[in-house]
Parts: sequence; C-alpha cells; structure tokens
Amino acid sequence: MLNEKKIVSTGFLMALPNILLFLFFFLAPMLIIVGYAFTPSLTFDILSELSLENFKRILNEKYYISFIWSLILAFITTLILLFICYPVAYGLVNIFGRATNIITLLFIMPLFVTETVKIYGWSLFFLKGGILNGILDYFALPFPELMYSIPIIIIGLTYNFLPFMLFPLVLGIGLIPNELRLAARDLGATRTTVFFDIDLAIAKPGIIIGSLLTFVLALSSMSESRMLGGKKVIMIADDIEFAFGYQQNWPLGSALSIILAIVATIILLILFRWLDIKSFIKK
Amino acid sequence: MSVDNIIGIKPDFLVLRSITKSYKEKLVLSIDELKIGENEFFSIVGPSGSGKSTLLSILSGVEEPSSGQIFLRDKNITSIPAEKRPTAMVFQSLSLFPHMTIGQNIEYPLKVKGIQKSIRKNKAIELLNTLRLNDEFYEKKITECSGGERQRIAIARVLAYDPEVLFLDEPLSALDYRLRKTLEVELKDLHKRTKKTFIYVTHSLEEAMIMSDRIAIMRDGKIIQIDKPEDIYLKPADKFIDNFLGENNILPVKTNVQNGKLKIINKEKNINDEILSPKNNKLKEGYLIIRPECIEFKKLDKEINSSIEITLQNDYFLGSKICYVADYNGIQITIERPREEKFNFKVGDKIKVYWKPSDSHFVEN
Amino acid sequence: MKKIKNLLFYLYTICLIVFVMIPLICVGIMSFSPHRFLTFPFKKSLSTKWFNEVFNSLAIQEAVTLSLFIALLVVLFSIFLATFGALAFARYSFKGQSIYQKIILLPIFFPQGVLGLGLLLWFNILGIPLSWKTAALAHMVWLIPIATLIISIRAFSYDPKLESAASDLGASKIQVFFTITLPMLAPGIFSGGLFAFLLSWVNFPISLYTSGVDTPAPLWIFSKMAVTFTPTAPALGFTVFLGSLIILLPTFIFLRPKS
Repeated sequence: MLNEKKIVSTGFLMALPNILLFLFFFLAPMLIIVGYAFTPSLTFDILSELSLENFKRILNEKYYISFIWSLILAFITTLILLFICYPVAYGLVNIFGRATNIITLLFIMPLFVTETVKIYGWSLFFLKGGILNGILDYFALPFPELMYSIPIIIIGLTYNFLPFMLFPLVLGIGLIPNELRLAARDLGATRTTVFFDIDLAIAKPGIIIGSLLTFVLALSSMSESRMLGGKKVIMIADDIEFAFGYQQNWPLGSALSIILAIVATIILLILFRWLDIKSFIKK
Repeated sequence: MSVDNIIGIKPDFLVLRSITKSYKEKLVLSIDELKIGENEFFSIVGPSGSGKSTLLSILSGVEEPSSGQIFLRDKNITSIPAEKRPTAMVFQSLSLFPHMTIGQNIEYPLKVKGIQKSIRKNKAIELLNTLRLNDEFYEKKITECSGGERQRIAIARVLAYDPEVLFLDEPLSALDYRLRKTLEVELKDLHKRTKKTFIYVTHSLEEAMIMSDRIAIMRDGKIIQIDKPEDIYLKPADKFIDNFLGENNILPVKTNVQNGKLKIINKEKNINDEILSPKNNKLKEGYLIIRPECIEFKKLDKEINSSIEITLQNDYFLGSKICYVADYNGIQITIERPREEKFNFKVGDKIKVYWKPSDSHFVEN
Repeated sequence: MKKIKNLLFYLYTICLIVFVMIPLICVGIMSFSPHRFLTFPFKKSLSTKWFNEVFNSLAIQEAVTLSLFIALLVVLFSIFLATFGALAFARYSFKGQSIYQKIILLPIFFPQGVLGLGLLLWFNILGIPLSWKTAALAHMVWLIPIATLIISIRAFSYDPKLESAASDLGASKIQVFFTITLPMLAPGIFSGGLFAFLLSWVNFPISLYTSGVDTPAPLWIFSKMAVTFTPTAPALGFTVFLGSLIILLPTFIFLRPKS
C-alpha cells in the first residue's frame, strides 16, 4: 500500500457498498419495525401516535407464552444437538481421514434444500398413512401417532439446524492437538479425565459458538412448529406471522418481532465476540 | 556392540528384549537387547527415520511393540499402558496445556492423583525453583514465556509426576545455540541432583556426548553402537557414525599380510605408502579413521609414528584452534592444531604429518 | 481396541446420516407416487407422471424461471459487493473496521421471518411494489454477508506480501488487483457465488414476505402443500434438490471448501 494522504481510506471505500446495503435494507427495516411497535394496534400509519398498547397486549393476552415455549424448545434442541453432534465432530477431526469430505458433504446437503420441502418430508414420514406407517404395517408393528406433537417439533428443529452445531464443533475439536492428550495420559490421567480436562476445555469456543448459533436459529424458526406441530405449540415466529397476516395487525406483529430481534441480536453479538478472537487466528 | 558394565550403575534396570515394531508390513524397529542402568543418563542418537522416536514411544508406553518385551526392575511392563507406568515424557513440542496457567500445568500430575490444592502449590513452586524459575511464574500463562522457560516448565511438570524414568524427546532442538548450550549443562546437573534415570533422544551426537553416561546410535531401526561418549568418539563403529562426528580423516586401507602394515588404497594412482596399523587389528580391508586433532606436524618422540606427505590447500582460523585442509592424492585431510602452535606454511607446501597408530581406528566397509 | 472404537464412530455417524436422509428420501419416494393422495406402500407401480407435470406445467415453469432470475440477480450483485466487502473485512484496515466486522455478519443468522417482514413494511413505506425484484433485493441482504464471509476466509489465507511484491515490481494498483488479488480470491469468489445462488434458489421465509404476487418455486411448493395435496410439489422439490446436488458434487470434489 502506497503511503498517500487520502481523504477516505481504501478499506472504507471497499466496505462502503456493504455498509450502505446494511444501513438501508437491514437497519432501516428494523427501525421501521421499532416504529410500528410503538404505534397503536391495528393501525397502518406508522407512529400516528406513540403507544405502548402492543406491549401491554403481549403481557395481557399471554403472547409471552409462545416466547417462553420458543425459548424452551430452542434450548432443548440445542442440548440434544450438542450431544448428538459431538461424536460425529470428533470422528470428522480424528477418525474419518479420507472419508471426511464425503461425510461433510452429506451433512451439508440439507442446507441446500428448501425448509418447507424438508419439513414436508418429515410429515410424509410421520403422518398417518405415511411412510413410517407403511413400513411398520409391513412388519406388523404398531404405529405411534407422532404428528402434531412436541417431540415432532423437536425432531424438525434438530434436523434443520444440525449443520450449525456440527461444523463449529468440528472447528473446536480441531483445535486440540492429539499430543496434549498423550501428555496428559502419560502424566497419569485416565481417558475420562483427559476428556474433561483437555478436550472440553480446548474445544470450548467451538461448543459455545455452535450452541449460540443453534439456539438463535431455533428460536427464530417459523415453519417447524406450525407444519409439524399443528396447534400444539406456537412458537414466537408463528405468532408474528399470524399477527401480520391473518390479524392484519402490523403494530402487534412488530412489537413481537422486536422482542425476538433484540434477543437474537444480543446472542449473535456475544457469538461474534467468540468467533472474532478464536477462529480467525486459526484461519 | 557391547554393553559396558559401568561401575556404580545397577545394570538391568530397564531391559528390552527382541523388540520389533512394524507399520503396515514395514519393519521400522528391530532391537535384540537393550539394557539401561538405574540413574543412568542414556542417550539415543540417530538421524530422522532411524527409529529413535519409535523406540522412545515404545519405552514410554505411548505405543506397543509389535513383538518383544520390556522389563523394569525385572517386572514385565510391556502391556502396561503409559499412564500406569512410572515413567513420564517431555515431548518434543513440550505439549504444555495452553488453556492452563504454568502452575496448573506443573501441578497436573498431582491434581490427577487427587492431592490437595495447597500441597500441590507448594510442590509446584518448589519445582519452579529447582528449574531456576522464580515464584512469579506460577500464575503466568504459557504464552508469556520464552522457549527456554517453557522447556523448564515441561521438565518441572514431568518431575511433579516423580517418575522413575524420564524420557526426553529432542527437547532442545528448537532452541538457539546459546540456550541449548546453557540447558545442556543444566540438564546434566539436574540429572545429578534428582538421581533419576534419564533417557534422552536427539539427532545431535555432540549434544549427547556432553550429557550422557552412555550413548546408543541408531540407524535404519537398529542400534549400531552403544558406548560411553569417549569411546564412540575415538572408536566409531562405522563410517556412518563418523559422518556424524564432523570432519574426520578417512583413509581407505588394506592390510598387508606380510608385514602387518596398512597399504593405502587409491583407485587412480598407485600409492605405495604404508602406515602402521592400530594394535590388535584383525580386519583385512576397510577405512582408517584419524581425528583431525590427533595429527601433528612434527614427529612425536619416543613413539613409532605413521606418516604421510600432504599438500596444503587452505587454512582457517577457528578461535582457539587452526584448521588445515590438505590434499593427499585426492583424499581430503583435515588437521586441527591449537592456535599457539605457529607454523609458516604456504598454500601448496608439501608437508609431512604424523600420528600415533593408537590414535587411529580401523573400521570395516 | 482401537479398531472397535473407530467402528463405533463410523456406525454412529452412518445412523445420523440416515437420519439426515430420511425426509429427502421420503420426498423422493412421494414424487414417484402413483396415487394422488398419501398412501404408503403404493398399491400400484411407481409413476413419473408428476415429473411430467413439473416439466410441462406453465405455472411451474414460471415459478422456476422467477427463482432463476432472482438467484442470478443475487449472484451478480453478491460477487461484486462481497469481493470488495471481503477485502475490507480481511485486508485493508480502516477506522471502525472491527465494528464493521461484527455488524456485517448479523443479517446471516438473524430471524429471517422478521427480516422479511421488516422489508415488507419498508418497501411499503417507500412505495416500492413487491415483486420478484424486491425479493431479490431482500435475498441480497442476508446472502451478500454470507458471500463476504466465504471470500474473507480466502482473503485471510493468502500472503499480503504478494501484493507488495507486485507493486514493488512496478505494477499499478489496478494491475495488482487484477493480476494478483482477484486470482488469489477466485476460489472464494466461486464458492461464495455458488452458495449465494443455491441459497437464494431454495429460500423460503424471505421470499414469502417480499415477493408480492410473484411466486418463486419454494413459494409455489408451499402453496401446493398447504392447500391441495398433489405429489407435483414434492416432485418439484426433489428435482430442485437433485439439481443442487449435481451442481455441488463436482465443486466439492475439486475445491474442498471449508465451512
């Protein structure tokens, strides 16, 4: 880089288009939502008056229940995914060798399929008269009615966000040099002790990143609960959509959105602090 | 290949018998017998691929041999895994735990045993001091330490385990020259103080010679010589070891059966020089090796000398000594003399040089 | 001992892979269903009539074309903005770079539904009518950061000294850019563009709110699934899936992108 006196640095110029996109088409819409959130319910004129009506409604009409459900389901999903994915991540780093690429591809694939198609696939599998039903009938086994229940929603959530737990874990576990494990064992530690003292401690960034990511995505998900869970459980994104669509209540929908957006943003900013320090050094 | 019985060291402390190791059908290590004494500083020297690291892994328990047994104080430890053996290793990369402080690193073996925090801390500080690091290091992180300091911390950690045998895998290879020299002396001193058996792997014969009681030299998965440092230096078992030792004079010779002298072989010209053979030589053909510092420019009185005439090509000043490079019918001859001996040689001079037959060493092809 | 342990890992992973494949396989099976409604096992033999409909239906063709237009528009803009954005992210320091680095990635994992709705409101206020073009713009908001991230990874890994060396040897800034920087970033740009294309193609939540009357393929599938059941929907879904696979597979073999 030549040392010239610049009015504006090159870096800034390069970042400018992205920054503008961000400001005009991300930040601006969010501000609009904030505006609508403080507009009286059921009006379409933004900020015709300043009002906290929507938030009162959220408390009184128990909308917060869907929010709590969303938190619970997201949390369960994250926990399940953590346990399910850890062995695969360990395998990808230490065991699979040349098969790693193919296996990675197989796990990445679902990301390139439309959500609704994936969820549809699960309903085909679990519906009465569907694929699982057919298979079990063939073996004369009883068919559990799983559709429209909470476990099914969890299956759907787990399915959709699996890659987002798996790959950060791979990054985290990849940080552990095998020699450290050998050294610990040489000094008297059992395999279990090594796992807790060495593996988990060093893979921590990966675990945290994967968990935060999965949590925030599961929290915001919209299709799983409606399509797989029916009316059993309503997640926050469903409520938002309902408010905007059927109820035509933009302000209410916006108020709900803000809550979700704030929680999501806080989690993501925490996540980026972890991402920033650790993984870019590795890269 | 003989195992010397060194006075004061209990032989048969650590014994390997018929050890082999193969990776995917390829034999990488094959040792008939290796005996290491208690409290010995034993080095294993060899280039990359000689099998020394494999041998170390097998000794420490990190790997299992394909066949053979290992005995510690007559107890068969071959199938005992690394964590249960009373041995500990300082890895080449040190393997210090990056997410723990130095104190936590050193205490780790004690923590694993379930020892109380306060006792652990005292022991850790004691070990820091033994390794000449002050108390402040206890709280520091690994990233705040230099290479030499990390080296010492790794050793302290291993000492906390209080093993009977300490393995060291090329611990000094990543350090600069001065640091290496300092630590070589310190390691030797540590060995004397802690009275533990040290098994040290390195590719530098020079380093091993400074610190060891005995050295085993490996090549291609086999041990080709085990001896005290002086013996290896003066009587290297073959030309290969010789290359290790730096500039050496190598004369191809053939025994003259009639008079017992050695005839120097030269493919291009016919040399009729004969030199004296070292005593009790039984070999017929091979190489005569003479260390540069054993060759002199004047006849050594009261002794019968070997001598040849050389042509001087160059000389170098090496601090406390001067190195002369000369030619003898196409063979390079190197001579080292102390700086104080003054000679007025010019390039191209033909000079006669002498050495004692007992300072020379005959090896086979 | 070690072999058994490895075998267990493989077995477990295979089970998980089967889990991952189930919905895709089900969709695939249903695409070949001889019946119109959901019955399994099939009472008649497999049929490809739904695929025929997929390729012949005008509505579907229009939907697919729209998706294609959107995706292409997205890729076009992504490549430009993301390349420069990545260089700003990874190479050229400027005041506020660290804030930039953190904020620019926010839209990627942000609730897509909320993003879509927000843009709907915003376009409404701006007076811009919703169409596939607004959908494309909406896609860009979250896909350009993804492409930026992918290219940044590439930007981090090559040695900046190459550029100084080139300008040292007399190359102008523009020459350095085209002869050194761009070629070094090329694999990243390719992956970034590919991801942007595929992810835009299959996107549902954002398209749902910002497409207006236009119906890109994912919305078409959704409408068919929600309203009337016809295996044409899964047939289309399956076809798109196979298409993505065919595009991804060779790329993966030759380029090995890291996540």
